[in-house]
Amino acid sequence: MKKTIFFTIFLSLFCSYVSTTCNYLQEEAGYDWAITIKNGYFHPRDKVLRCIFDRCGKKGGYWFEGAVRRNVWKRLDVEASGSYFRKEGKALCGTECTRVSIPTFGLGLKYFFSRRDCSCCIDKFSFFVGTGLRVFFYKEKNGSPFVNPCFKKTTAGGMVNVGFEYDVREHFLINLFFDYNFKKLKPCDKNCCNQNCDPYRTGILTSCCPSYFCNVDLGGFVFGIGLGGKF
Amino acid sequence: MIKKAKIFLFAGLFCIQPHICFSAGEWELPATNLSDPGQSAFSPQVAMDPAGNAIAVWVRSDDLTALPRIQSKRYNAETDSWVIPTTGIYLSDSEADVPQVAMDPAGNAIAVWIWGAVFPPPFRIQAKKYDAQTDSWVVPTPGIDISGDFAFAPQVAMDPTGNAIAVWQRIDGGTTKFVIQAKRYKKNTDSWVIPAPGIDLSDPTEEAFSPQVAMDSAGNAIAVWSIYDGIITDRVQAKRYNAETDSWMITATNLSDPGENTENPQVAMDPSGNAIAIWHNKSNDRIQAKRYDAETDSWVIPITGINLSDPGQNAALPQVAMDSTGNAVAVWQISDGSNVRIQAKRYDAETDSWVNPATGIYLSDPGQDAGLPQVAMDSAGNAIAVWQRSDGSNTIIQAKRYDARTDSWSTTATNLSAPGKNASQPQVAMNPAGNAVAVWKRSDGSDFRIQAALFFPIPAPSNLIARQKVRRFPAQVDLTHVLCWDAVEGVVKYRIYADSNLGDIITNVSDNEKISSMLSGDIGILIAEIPAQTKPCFVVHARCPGVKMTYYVVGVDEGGNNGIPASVTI
Repeated sequence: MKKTIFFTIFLSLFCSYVSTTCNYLQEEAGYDWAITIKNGYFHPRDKVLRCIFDRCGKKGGYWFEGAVRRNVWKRLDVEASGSYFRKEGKALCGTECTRVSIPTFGLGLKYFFSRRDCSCCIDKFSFFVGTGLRVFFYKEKNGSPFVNPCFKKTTAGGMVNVGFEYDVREHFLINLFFDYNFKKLKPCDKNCCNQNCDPYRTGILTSCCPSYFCNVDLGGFVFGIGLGGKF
Repeated sequence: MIKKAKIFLFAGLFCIQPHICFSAGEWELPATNLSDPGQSAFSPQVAMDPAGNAIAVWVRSDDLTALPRIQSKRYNAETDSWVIPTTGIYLSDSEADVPQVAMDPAGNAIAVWIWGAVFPPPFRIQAKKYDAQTDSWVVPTPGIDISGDFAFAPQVAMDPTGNAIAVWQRIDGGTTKFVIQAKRYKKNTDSWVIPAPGIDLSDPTEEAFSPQVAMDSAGNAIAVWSIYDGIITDRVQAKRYNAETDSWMITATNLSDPGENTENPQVAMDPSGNAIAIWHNKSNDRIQAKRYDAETDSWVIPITGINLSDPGQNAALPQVAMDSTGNAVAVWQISDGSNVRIQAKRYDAETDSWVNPATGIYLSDPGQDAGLPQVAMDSAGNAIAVWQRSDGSNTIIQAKRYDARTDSWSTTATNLSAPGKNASQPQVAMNPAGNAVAVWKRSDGSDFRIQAALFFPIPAPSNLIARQKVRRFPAQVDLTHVLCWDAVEGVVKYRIYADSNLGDIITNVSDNEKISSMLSGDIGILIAEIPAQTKPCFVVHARCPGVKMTYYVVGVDEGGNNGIPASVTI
């Protein structure tokens, strides 16, 4: 449902952009490099994550991202980005605190749609759409002796980006973005699942092992605003 | 004002009425006077049935003649009161002494005693049967006398079906030596009969005395006694009664070694027919024991040897009790170099060895003399020992409880009799559920009176429930079992055990305690101790999904005694 809404908004914006009575789209980028610092809000797709976070405030959290773009062909850019998300929460049906940190590294392509020979405001707007690979460095810290206090896992997923860029001046831009990340984290691979839950275990001391692991959907919407420059 | 007055009055009544001012689910104190004032009473004995009813017998001088007679009272577990049977408090005519009593699971009892002290004294063994249904003492067939003249030291045991065996020593008319004799009470004919091959158990050419008898659930019995072999020394002998053949063994078995001077044999049996005989070896002043193995029909020495006590310390007066699985507890008195103290050891049927409990071998505290220990066990292996001990001014009656799960005796002894007057001759009986009753005599300043105190184990926590709860972390789950139960009055903490196949968890329990419970516990691993609270609950973390677990919750009182466990499976 949310994907549908997202794409409906995207298509509306895109169609409204291209339907204005202007001439053709600008072909050349006019820059080689672009750097953007973005600040957004991450709304997790995973309902459990939202519930956990909601117990300490909001269902999502702030997302910080830095990106470097290189124009490779006409209006097509290659972008490398690094982001960081962190949010506290509380275990469901418990009072133990938990904290999720998700640094990511993304690598993708973005295509910008610019216009010329229109009014000055429209000229400075670019609409972009992109996609790429995003690597999630998931880290979970828990305040409970009955699960792993520090669980880490690295996994690769994908992303889709849409948004607008506004050239405030030469070399300075404002970025409005709507990203969607997707990746379902599987904490255990074949060899480690349920090893910690041997029913005939007779150890005396706690072993900091959970009863079992659960998949976590790391995907979700990120939207926000950024500032940057083009060179 | 009125409200405060009501509260005060209630509190006062709470501590004035008898049977109410007790503490912590343990001994119901102060003790209850069983015999009436005005004449001295002594030699109490007591027995208990599985329902918690008890019968106490004792000797008391008759109010009119001042001659000794046997009296009895019955403890009614339902009404929590000592009552006189419908036939009255007296069992015997005048000139009766040394009563003994045994009970069967239905609450019936057999009492035996010596009667007749008018010169020339007949000294016969008499017996009566208590009928639980009619609440009356009756005389079985063919009469109240079950022995001839000049019989002494009667003992009696009953089996679960209501049959009984009585043993005594009697002067043989031909040899003028004491001989051990026995008769069997048959419930279905309500009569005393002589099993084959005859009434005599011991060799009439040898002097025999101090008989004791025990029975198993099938009606078999073992009798032990001391025999004087004519060469100075005494030996302990035993004979087994076979219920199937209704006959005693032809030849007695010598239990103690030749050339050793022995006395005070005692015997206990478990329901399967195994037995332990214990005695005092006067030659080396040690307590010794042998075990009868029902499977091999033989007397054997345990792996740890025949001796229970250390040499040269004047050990004496041993007593022994067995539980339903062949374990036993033995108590005796012994000098520690300064005072006479009470010691105890436990026989472990699995390892066939006598061992010191985790709390050590001594039961009574140093500094004062203690003696005359008695012991009883329940079916789970718990035990209660009673003894008399000086408090510096008088002798008082003390008790300790052995907890089989923790392999330990109570940390402190409970004073059963009130200070200020001498008390002695303690006896104790226990039923399979762990209830117990102790009796003794105590001076009231003028005469001795028989007193009794009841022990109630801490009840099992009621309404124990377990439910599963999932504590969800982002990528991990802590599956918990939440245990809740109703608070038990009088406990200071609860112990929680888990099925031994699924050990783990833990909170504030030391490793040594966990290991101890693993080694000794028949109910799994101790996983936590929590203080008493109004609505006790405990969360067991890190459970495995799809695996069944059983938990046990036990209340613990101030003395460290465990109560009856409640269990729940989830």
